[in-house]
Amino acid sequence: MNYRLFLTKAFACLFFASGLVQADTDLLDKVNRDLSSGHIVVVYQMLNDDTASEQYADWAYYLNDFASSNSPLYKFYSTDVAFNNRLVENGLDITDSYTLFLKKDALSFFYEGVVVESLVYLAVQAHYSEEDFLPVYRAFIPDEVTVKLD
Amino acid sequence: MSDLLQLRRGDSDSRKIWGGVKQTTTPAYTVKNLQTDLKSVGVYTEKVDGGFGKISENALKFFQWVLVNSDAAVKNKTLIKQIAIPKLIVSGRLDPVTASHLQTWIKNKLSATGDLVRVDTTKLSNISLGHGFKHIAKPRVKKTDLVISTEALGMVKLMNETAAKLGLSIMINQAFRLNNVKVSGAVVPPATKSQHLIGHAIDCNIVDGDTWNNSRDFKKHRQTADAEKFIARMKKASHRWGGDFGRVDTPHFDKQLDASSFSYDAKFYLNQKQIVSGAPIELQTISD
Repeated sequence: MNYRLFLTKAFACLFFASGLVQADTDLLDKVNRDLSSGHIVVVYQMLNDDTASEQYADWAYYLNDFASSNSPLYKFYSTDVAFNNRLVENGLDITDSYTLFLKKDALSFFYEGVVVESLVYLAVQAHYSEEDFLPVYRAFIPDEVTVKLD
Repeated sequence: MSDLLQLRRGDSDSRKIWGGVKQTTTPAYTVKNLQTDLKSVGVYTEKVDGGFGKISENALKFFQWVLVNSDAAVKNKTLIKQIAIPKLIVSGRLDPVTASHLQTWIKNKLSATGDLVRVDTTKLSNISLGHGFKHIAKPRVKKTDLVISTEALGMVKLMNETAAKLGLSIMINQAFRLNNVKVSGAVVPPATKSQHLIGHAIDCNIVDGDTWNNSRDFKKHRQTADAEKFIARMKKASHRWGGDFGRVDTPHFDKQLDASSFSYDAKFYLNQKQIVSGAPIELQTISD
C-alpha cells in the first residue's frame, strides 16, 4: 500500500516537474521563435504582487498602454525559471524586477527595477524603429546588454 | 411623500418590506420609485427591480455623499453650483432630508457629477506635459489639459510655484487615469485602486537642467539637490511622494484619499463617470 502511494506520489512529482520544465522550455522557444520571425520581445519579471500599490498601478498601466499601441510587432512575456537561468548564464543580475527588450541582430536592453515611466518604453521603441531619437530618450533608454538565448 | 418610510437595505417591494418592517399596505414611495429616482440623478445604473440590496444602498450613499461633499451638479449638460449640506449623514437610508433633496434634484433635472477639473498647462510657467503624456481622448478635454480632482489642484499649484523658485521644470507623465479601459493587447491585469483613478495623483519627472531625475537616478542616488528640495517642499505640504513607498515609485506624487474609505469609492464612481459620460469639466486657472 505504502509502495503504491510512493509510486503515485513519484509519478505526480515527475508529471508536475516535467510540466514545469516543458513550460520553461516553451518560453525560451517562444522568444527565439518570435525573434526569428522579426518580433521585438519584451520579457519582464515583476516581483511586486501587491496589486493595490501605486507602483503596481503605474507599472501595469504603462506596460499595458505600450503593449496596446505596439502589438503585434512587440511580444510580451512574464519570465520563468529557465529563462531567468539563461539570463544568469549571460551575466545578468535578475534578483530584482526587470524588463528585457530583445530584437534579432540588434542591441538588447535591460531595465533593472520596475518600469514606472512611459519614456523608458518610448526610448526603446524609438531606438528599434529608427524613429527620431529625441535627446530626452538618452536619459531613459535602459542599459545595453548582450544576451545569447539559443 | 407624507407616508415616507425610511427605505433601507433589505427592503423589498415584492415581499412588502418597507422601512425594515413587513407592511400590509403599499406605501406611496416604494423601492422601485427610489431606484428610478437614483437612476435619474445618475448614481444608480442597475435594473429597477424593487429589491433594496447592496448596490441600491451604495447608490443612495453616493447621492448622500454628493449632497455632503459636492458643490456641483449637471443640468442640461451644464455645470451648475449647489450648496453642500455638510451635516447630512451618509447612512444609505432614505431619511426625510435625503428624500427631500432627491425630489428637488428630480424636479430640477439635476445629475450628480465628479470634481474633476481641467488645467491648461500652457498657462503654467514650470509645468509641461511630457513626451509620454497621453491626453484623455474625450471631446471636452484639450490636448494641453491636465485633468485632476479639485482636491489635488493645490498640489499642482505648489508644484508650479516650487519648481519656479528652484528653477526646475516639471514634466507630467500622467494624472487622472480612466479605469478598465479595454486595451487590446493588454498583458497584465490593471490595478483596481489607485490615486490616479480618482484624479489625486501625478506622475512626473523633476527636470533640473540636463538631469531628468528619473527612477534610475533616484535608485542610484544621482538625483540633484534641487530635486530633493522640491520633494521636501511637497512633503511638507502633506503630499505623498512615491519614493517613500515600500514599493518605490519615484515619479509619483499624490494627495492621498484612503482607498478603503467610502469617500474613495464615491469619488471613483463619480469622477470616472464624469469622463465616460462626457459631462462638463470646468477649466481652472492656476495663477503664478
